[in-house]
Amino acid sequence: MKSKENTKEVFESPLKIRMKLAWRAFKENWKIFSESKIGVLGLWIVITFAIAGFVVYPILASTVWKPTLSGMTSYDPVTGYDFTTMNNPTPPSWHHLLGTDPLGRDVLAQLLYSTPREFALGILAALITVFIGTVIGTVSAYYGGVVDTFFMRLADLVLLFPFIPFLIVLSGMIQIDLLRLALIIGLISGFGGITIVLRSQAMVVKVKPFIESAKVSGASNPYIIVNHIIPNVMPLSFLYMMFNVTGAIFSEAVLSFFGLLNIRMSWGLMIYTADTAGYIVGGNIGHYWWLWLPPGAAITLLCGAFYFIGRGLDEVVNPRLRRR
Amino acid sequence: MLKYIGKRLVQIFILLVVYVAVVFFLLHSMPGGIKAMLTTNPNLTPQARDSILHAFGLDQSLWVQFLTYLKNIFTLNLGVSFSFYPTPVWSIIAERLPRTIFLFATATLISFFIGFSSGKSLAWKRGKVSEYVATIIGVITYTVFTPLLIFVLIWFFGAYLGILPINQFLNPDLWVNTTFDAQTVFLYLLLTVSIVGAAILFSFIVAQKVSHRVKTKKIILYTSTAIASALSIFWWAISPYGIYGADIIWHMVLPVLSVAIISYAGTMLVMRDSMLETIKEDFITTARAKGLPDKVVRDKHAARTAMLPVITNFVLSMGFVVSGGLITESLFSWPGMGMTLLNATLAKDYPLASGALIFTGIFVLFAHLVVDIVYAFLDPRIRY
Amino acid sequence: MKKVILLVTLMVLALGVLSIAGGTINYALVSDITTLNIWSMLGPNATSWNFYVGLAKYGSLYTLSDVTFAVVPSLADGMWTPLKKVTEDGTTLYVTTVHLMKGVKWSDGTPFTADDVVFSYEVPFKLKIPGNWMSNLDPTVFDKIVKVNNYTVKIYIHKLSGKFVYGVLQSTIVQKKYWEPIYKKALKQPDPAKYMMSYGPILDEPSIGAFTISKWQKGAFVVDKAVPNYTFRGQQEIEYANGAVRYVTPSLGLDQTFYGKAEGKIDNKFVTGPYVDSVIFRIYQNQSAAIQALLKGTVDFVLNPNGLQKGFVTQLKADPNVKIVNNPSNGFRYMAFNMRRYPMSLKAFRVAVAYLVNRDLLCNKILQGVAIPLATVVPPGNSFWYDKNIKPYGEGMTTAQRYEAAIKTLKDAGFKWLVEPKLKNGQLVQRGMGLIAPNGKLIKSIKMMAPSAGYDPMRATAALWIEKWANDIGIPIVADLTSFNNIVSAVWDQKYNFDMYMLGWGLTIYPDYLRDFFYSKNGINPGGWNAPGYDNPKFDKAANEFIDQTNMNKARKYGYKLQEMLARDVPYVVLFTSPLVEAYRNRISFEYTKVLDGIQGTYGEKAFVKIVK
Repeated sequence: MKSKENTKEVFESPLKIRMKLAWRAFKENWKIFSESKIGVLGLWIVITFAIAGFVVYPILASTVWKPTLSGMTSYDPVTGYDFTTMNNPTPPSWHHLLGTDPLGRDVLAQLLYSTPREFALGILAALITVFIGTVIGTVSAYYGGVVDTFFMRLADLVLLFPFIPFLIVLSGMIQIDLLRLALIIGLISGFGGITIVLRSQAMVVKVKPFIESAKVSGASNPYIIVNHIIPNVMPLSFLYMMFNVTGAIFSEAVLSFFGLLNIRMSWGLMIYTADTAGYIVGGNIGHYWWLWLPPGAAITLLCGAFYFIGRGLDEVVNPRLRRR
Repeated sequence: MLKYIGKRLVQIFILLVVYVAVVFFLLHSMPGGIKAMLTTNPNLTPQARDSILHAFGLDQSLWVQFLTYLKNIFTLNLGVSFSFYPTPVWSIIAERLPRTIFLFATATLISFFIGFSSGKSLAWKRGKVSEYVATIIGVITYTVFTPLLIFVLIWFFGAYLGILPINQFLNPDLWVNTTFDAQTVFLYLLLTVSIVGAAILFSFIVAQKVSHRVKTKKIILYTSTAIASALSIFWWAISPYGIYGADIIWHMVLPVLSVAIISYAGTMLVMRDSMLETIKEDFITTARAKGLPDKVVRDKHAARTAMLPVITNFVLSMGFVVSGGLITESLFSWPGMGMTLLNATLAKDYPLASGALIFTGIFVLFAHLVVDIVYAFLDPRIRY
Repeated sequence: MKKVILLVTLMVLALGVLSIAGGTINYALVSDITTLNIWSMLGPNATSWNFYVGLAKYGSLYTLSDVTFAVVPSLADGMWTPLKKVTEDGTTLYVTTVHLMKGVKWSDGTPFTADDVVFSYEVPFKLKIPGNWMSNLDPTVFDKIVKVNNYTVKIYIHKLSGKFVYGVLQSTIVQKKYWEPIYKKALKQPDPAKYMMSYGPILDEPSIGAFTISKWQKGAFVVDKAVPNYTFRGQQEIEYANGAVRYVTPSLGLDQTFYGKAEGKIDNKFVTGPYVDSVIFRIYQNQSAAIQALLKGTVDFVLNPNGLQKGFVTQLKADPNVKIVNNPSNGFRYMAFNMRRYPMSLKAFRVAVAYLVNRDLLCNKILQGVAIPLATVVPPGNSFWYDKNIKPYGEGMTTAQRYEAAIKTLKDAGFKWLVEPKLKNGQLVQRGMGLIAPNGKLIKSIKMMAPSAGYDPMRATAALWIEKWANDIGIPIVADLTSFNNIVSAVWDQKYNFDMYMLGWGLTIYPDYLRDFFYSKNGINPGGWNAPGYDNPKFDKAANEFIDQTNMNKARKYGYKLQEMLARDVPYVVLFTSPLVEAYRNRISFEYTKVLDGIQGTYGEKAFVKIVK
């Protein structure tokens, strides 16, 4: 259907046409997406977190939270302290909007400091996954045969892979920091379920007439894959990217919660610190809520938000789900 | 049918070999891997070190090592644990595997049925407030940070209400004068569950063959289920293990609840989507047009067709459930496989950690196989 | 006559106490036990959890007195005879005679004799069972043991050493009757040590202690049952202020006093039980679960070698039925310099860094009292060995004074800066930059490895603070927060590949670590104890004198000397120790709660614990 549009504006540069088309497609899809309340909600949550982490934190860190040479209070998320409070953890106050942790560090600063890192982890892992998944899915679908069988069986395996147990054992052998974690999660899940889904989508695209015509006009196989098939499975890839972000952030939180990652600060680590110091037991749970609720809610919200966006996109990508 | 099962068995076997290979090569290529650990562990006597090196075949080339390792796995020779030295890894796993299997078999079945039935009614209530509420709750429990949920459950049921046991898998006061192992009771419990399950499956098949009338089928199915359950309850009641089995089940309530809450939403959401697609199909419109009651259309026509992707999803979520189970086990003091894996990793006990990892994988693969076979029996559309 | 009357009154008293005894108490373990086999327990599986449950069954010739940690006889009758030099087959040996208590019985009624002792020393020594067995019966010290008669043994050693007193004489004793057939079978195996260590379950093994293990439900609980015919039941242990320790044992008709005369003020007086029928050890997989159980009253006491964290204490304080005790733990966290590298090899550099470490600020303000400042290698809690006259660098100074002292030390040694640090009115107004060593070279960066916050927030925090203080005056220390294993691997596996690191040690009462940690030869081969590479011939000489003493009063003098040298040369900067906080329900009571390493250090005072409610 998109090829029809091309005939009208032959004199414009192909790039410009593409941009226009993309814009138009985006506007249409946005309309569908915005009908999904859950998707829009997710998007808002993600935007809020992004602003908090990428804009609010740097501003705060360089203004009100700026360390002084002989200051009484430091808002550093890892080495912070507050000499004005005697008995940490302290409940929320004007100085510490979300209180301090058992070592006297500002909980809000820790929360905000970790946000961009969680984004980076989730998005990097998801990008790797989607990249591998898209390439393998389309190649498998296009060429079929042994390649196809191999990757599909591999995907079966990865789907059943006890992922977190594996990461735990791995963490005992190598030092896992955020970058490595993103790479590992991205690599392993790239060979998993996403390849199956993208392959079946690519199979649908593969038999479309415009592929045939491209073949007839002498396009090479890699050219067809890159220029015709991949763009058509892209929306689905994007959808899966959202679910993978959720998975990556969740995995990080679980590993940090068990104290297995080599990182300075993260939401999971905040809960780990509170738990090992004994603030998440019995009546302490209600009494010291600021130690576990903010990071726990942040993990849940951000994971949930990406999942919401995924569900919203699902309605865009899978038109059959749309309400008639 | 047999041919199909055979084919699946071969596939699972190949997957298992590949899985072991992946785990093996990853663990052995790591800088702090098994060999480095073995040669630097000061606790081991030279003989012990040599015997473990030999048991793992670490004195040979990598390929030979892999084949030896594979052979060792199938002969259950997984080496000797460091932290439980000189206990063999297999005997530790054999002690803990039944606890995990029993907990998860129960929890997954419960969460599947909750997810299935709630997903069914959700799709039917498309667009209503209750759908939104249920979906939101489902998504929250699906994405909630698991430890957080468990902390709250422990606090609420264990500490605040104080009605459920929270931190062991049995009550020592009750067990202090027993002469048998808790493991024996776990094995009997597992046996009971599988016998009852098999009886239900068998009667279902018989019912399908014997009659085409829905009512007769139902009667056969329900009666046999009731008889199987009654018989097993009777057996437990007269056996010396009765109260101890009940004690274990009582201690399992909260862990099962947690796993169920965490994992039911996955099934529910897929079921809802699947139902939504099915509803639009022509035969549903026909059924409605015939004037059949809504409930009948939903349960008899739509739900059955919509089940296919749900079961697929259910199988695929096994890995996820096992991961969630790891957190559950560690927070509820349930000394199963997840706990073993975590503690072994923290203690740098590589033989035990890798053994536990491999058996977790085998457990998932096996569960996959079981669900596949059950599914093949249930779905008449699969032809072999 | 007086003595007889005293004994009779004591027996009546003891019986009176015993008549109110009974009942079951519950202890929580925060981790699973791995074995009940003594060979394995004191071998590769030496975990606190195993000790809590299993060690009470066994005996030893000598032991440490409660609270005061003096070496006193346990199954031996009186002190060992002074060591005599003898020559056998051309080698010089030292020999001592030890008499055994008569009338002591195992729980199966078998009398305890010299055969048990000889068997228990020979088997682990011949099989080379690793771990505690080998360190107690160190082949460089222990030579052989010979039975003279049923109640006398002779012990031969190669050299005079404190390890003889704290190792050889305190090695664990098992029953020969039970283990001999198993040992014979083991000798026919390819790996006899492994056979011995994996033998089990051993619930039928007789006990010579107050308790025996009657049940182990794996992963759930272990039951210790009181031994009804325990020989030392009703024994009185009386500790005098003058250092004398007196034991009155009614069942054997004994009244013995060691380390001086039984006179003057009495510090402690304990009467041995057991006062309960059984102790159930409930196994929990994490600390939170155990604390929940304590709050509920399911368990009476939580055993944990690390004590309780701050949050748990806050929670438990709110419960009027829970008592909390706080003791220093026997250990320290420290920072080590690699003295093989420049500029850590310069004393002035190390002293400057030592000046900067403000323990008081770190422990009391920043770490909020979760750490106890400690500046010496021997903690004050180990009062016999601790040198009270040691003054660490910078004690009592403020941060600004510390900066000044450090800058002065560096300047005096010839260090220069590109930008010199400046202080004005007790405030740092200019941070130092570009430290130049006396050899004229710019010091680029000094990496200090420390455990990450996930492993130990206290050390991680300390490392970052020390980094800040050092950077303030221009010392380019970079804190590298990494995993515990990375540090261990860099320091010990990769042949001392570090500039500075931060770790901790758990200590023993006998401070032979003074020599082990700093003896020059221990810092040459990879994996040696002396990670800093401290090399001081004077120290080595004193250290050898110290370790060779079998007279602990003389040993102490050398010990003081070593502590002084270490405080001056600072191969280690000792930072702090952690307090050990424990909690128990007021349903039970202990004989004493103030002791180095806490109640858990006594494995739960099983022979003393009573039910009071």
